[in-house]
Amino acid sequence: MSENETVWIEKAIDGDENAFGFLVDRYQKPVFSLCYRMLGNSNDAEDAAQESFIRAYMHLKKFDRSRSFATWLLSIASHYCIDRIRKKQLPVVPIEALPEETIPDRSVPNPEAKFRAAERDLLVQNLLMSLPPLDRAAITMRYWHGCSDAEIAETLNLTVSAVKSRLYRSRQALADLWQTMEKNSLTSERRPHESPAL
Amino acid sequence: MSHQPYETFLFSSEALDKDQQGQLEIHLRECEQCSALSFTLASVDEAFSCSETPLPAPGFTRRWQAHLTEYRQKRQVRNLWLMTLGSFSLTSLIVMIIALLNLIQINWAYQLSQSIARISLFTAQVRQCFTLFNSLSNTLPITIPVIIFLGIGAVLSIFSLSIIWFGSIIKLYSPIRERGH
Repeated sequence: MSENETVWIEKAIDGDENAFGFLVDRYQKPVFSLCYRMLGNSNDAEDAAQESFIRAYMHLKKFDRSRSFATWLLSIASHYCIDRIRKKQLPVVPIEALPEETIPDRSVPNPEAKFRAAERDLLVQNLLMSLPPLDRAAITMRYWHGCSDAEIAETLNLTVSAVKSRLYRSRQALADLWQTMEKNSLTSERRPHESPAL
Repeated sequence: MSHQPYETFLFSSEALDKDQQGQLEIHLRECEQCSALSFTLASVDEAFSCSETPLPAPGFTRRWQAHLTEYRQKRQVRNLWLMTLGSFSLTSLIVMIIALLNLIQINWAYQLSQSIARISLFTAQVRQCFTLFNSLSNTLPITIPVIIFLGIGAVLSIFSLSIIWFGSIIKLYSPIRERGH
């Protein structure tokens, strides 16, 4: 935690809204990113990130200064997202529902690359959405935030061994899904009633 | 062929030491299944690392400040409602308690005073009767023995009780008058 950040936190605890505004400015990307990976779309992610910052501001006096502010903030965001998923039961898109072929938009520069990137992002998001909320949070923190097992454990209120076990299980599930998806795409490439020799 | 501990090495999030890495590499050269799994995991890792997360729309902090103001207003309104409802409930509760206490106090005090009055009146009457009987017996010359007085009293009592008894029996067996006629 930088010295500036500590000062901003102190000021924010004393009720300085602008000081907390600096913290919002600094942490908006990681919080939004976590919410996006958890909820799967930008609108929900924006709402969740805003709500997470509001909750953080309102409970700032409870913040333990010996802890990392980023971890505390991500903890609030991840728990909020988990609650939201459980309450709303957001629809999980099955991997089979991925679009097989979409015509790329030729008006944008390098449309092929853009199309591939969009397809990959959709695939990644669908893979993530197939995981239970807590596992999804752990995987997101590992892949996109580079958090250690201990940091994930602190953020999600789990033990380190529980985090290890969840990450192991999630990677296993992701690999299984990926293999299933590859098999499906191989079988769908051959048209129905077409001879394998052709 | 056993795939353990190589599968664990592949899925584990912990870094492998040199020995474990060497063993895994040898096994992957020999085992097609684990090799395919390793390739799949590498593909997943690559897809995840290449996938870019969209950034929040510009003006996030400004929107947060607006959101905070709105949140505070909502909270203020909610608190106001809660306070109004709370004070109303508290007042109603206090009024009800006072009314109940008053009701209980009147009944208890009244009942108690009535009981005390009755007991004291009864005691006084008994004492008066006793005093009167004593004074009569002391002042009047006893010409007739007391036992005769008591006998006459007993006969009169039995007579009056018999009249009451007969009267009640006659009343009980008399036909009941129909209403409205």
